[in-house]
Amino acid sequence: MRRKTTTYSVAGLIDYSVNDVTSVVDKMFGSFNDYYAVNKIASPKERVDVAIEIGDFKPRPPSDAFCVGEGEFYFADDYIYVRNERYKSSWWTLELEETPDGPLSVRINSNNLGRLFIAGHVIDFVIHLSLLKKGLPLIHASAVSTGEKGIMLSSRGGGGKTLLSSNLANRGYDFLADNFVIVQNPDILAFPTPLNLFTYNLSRDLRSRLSIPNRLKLVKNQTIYAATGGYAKFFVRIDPRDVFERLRQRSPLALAAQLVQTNDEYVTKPTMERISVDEFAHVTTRNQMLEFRLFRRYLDEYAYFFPFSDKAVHWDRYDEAVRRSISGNVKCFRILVPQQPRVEFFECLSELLESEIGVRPKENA
Amino acid sequence: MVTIRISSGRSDPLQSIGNPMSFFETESVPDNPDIVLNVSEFVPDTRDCRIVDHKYHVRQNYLFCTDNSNGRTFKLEISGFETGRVSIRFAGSAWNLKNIIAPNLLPFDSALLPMIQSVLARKSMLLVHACGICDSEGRAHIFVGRSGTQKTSLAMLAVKRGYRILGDDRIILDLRNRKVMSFPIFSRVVETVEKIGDLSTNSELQRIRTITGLLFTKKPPNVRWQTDPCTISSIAFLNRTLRHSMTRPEFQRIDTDRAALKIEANNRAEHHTSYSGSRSNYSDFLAAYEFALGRRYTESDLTERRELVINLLNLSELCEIDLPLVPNPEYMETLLGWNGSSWNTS
Repeated sequence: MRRKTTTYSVAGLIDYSVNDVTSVVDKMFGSFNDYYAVNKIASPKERVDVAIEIGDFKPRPPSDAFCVGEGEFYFADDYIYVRNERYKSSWWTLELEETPDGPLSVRINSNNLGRLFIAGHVIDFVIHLSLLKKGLPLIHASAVSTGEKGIMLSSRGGGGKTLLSSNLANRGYDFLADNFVIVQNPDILAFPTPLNLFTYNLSRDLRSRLSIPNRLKLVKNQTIYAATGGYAKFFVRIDPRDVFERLRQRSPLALAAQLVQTNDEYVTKPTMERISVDEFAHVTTRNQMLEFRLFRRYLDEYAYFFPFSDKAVHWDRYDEAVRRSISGNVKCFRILVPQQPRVEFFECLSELLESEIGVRPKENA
Repeated sequence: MVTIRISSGRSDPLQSIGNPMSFFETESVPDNPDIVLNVSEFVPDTRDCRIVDHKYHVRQNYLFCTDNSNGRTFKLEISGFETGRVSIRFAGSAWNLKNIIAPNLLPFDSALLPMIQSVLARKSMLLVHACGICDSEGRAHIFVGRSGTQKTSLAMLAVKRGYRILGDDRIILDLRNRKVMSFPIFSRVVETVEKIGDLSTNSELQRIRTITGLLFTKKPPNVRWQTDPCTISSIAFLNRTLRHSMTRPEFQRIDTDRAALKIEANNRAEHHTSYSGSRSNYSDFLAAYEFALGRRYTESDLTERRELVINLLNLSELCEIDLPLVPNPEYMETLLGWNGSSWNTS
């Protein structure tokens, strides 16, 4: 078991290190390196904001910590320990410890299957938490830009953000991110994680850009999905650098939308409902609560012991951060998307978005 | 206060034993129940719904969800979510011991209990996750705490010392009249557990003993349920610490703001748990509902009521009590022993 620490940076705002002390065999199940590769920085930093250690550990709760259940959770000031989290057939145990002068320390141990979920369920949340401490909201959204005007498309799973952003990228927009975006008034910044592709969010153009091995992976995953009756849903992770020509790290924000799926069969043309920044912040917060539902529970438990702490009002603070980060001239919308949208739907929606921001992307080179 | 009609598509021979609502059963058939629960196969009315996470279907005042809980698929529909009569339909089945003894556990956890809480809230009654006991002078002492704080054992000890019980797990705060009322769920279980004894180990053996007791015990219960509303004398918030060596529980008086926040936090945390052992999705339903419709359902609930809660809290002694990791009978006596004036404040 070799010690190997890799350092990453999220848009230059949060530096985090991952020290994976599990075995080579364990690593075959899921390498965090794959997931966060886009963010890797070459030289290790002296000081990081977050230090993550993956592997077996013994919890070290402070002497005045509280306990819930028969040791399911330990809580102390800026300390959270979760003994056993289960998700489908995976489990993990985690410990989060904030020290006044040092980094946020995160220790995680899991079974092999757990490695697939830790990135999304734990590490992404920890990054979200660290960014919020700096007043910056992490938004579960994809984003594209003309260069001067950025469009942020947020949704829950199946809402269409991947389909729409890849459609727009095809029309000549620069691609920022598929999964998470950071808002730093007046800009949006990419937090590039791989595109999580499954069959339902894959447009024809995107499929045509995929390498053969990736296309085979898609078919394999779809088969597994069908064979397990929908239980085992594996996404194919694609580095956006492999499929999009024009990538961008930062852009001023012009338009923000929440895409919501509807089962109304008669929605053939998109409806764009203009909403206030307040309402956008409210629904975006709910999106984030659903995205990080496991941590939402830990925070709810924590709040009982520390009702006046930052964590107790975590979601209110997030809501406020979203509101403050989106300036008055940004147009916010709710867009209803049908369950099985046709290509025409997204073409039409792309045109509507363009007319809202008042500028077309530069022509393809 | 709240009338509920429950009908089940299956015959449940053990119905009254594991039924969480057994205490509340009445002979009379309500004309216009506040809540109707139907447990049997159904076809949901999901027209014009917005869909979240591939599983929640929502529209104004309605939500439907199909989900997995502990490897068991179920369908749940709630109409009248915000206003009007609440109609719950549930379908799903499982084959583990808990679900044979208490087949309505899952619909109870995931829908009925939260909806009871919701309907009570419309009438300014707060259903709280706490243990309540009532002394011989009709004054109630309430103990709020997360799981593991021995609330049930405390209630059992109180029974031995002659107290009446409002509830070992849930009680109702009447915010308008500033009183507390009972809400004895799983009354048969509580009565049986009281006879069998010590609950301090949450072991399989203990569970089997409890279930066996449920099935075979015929003696009348020792537990005396307090059914009239009482004034609240004290509210204590229990915190279980990791400290092994604590000679006695440590009390600390707290103010109404802190107490109000702790009550809310306790209720919110409790939304994630369930009697059936699996995680409850209720918080996710609420978030999905608000996300898809842009509605502020939960906030308007709590903030308006906070004023009323603080008014009620002003009437009673409030404190936080730190407990050692390992429960012991002496400290339970201490908890029961105080009555507001004879506390050791640190």
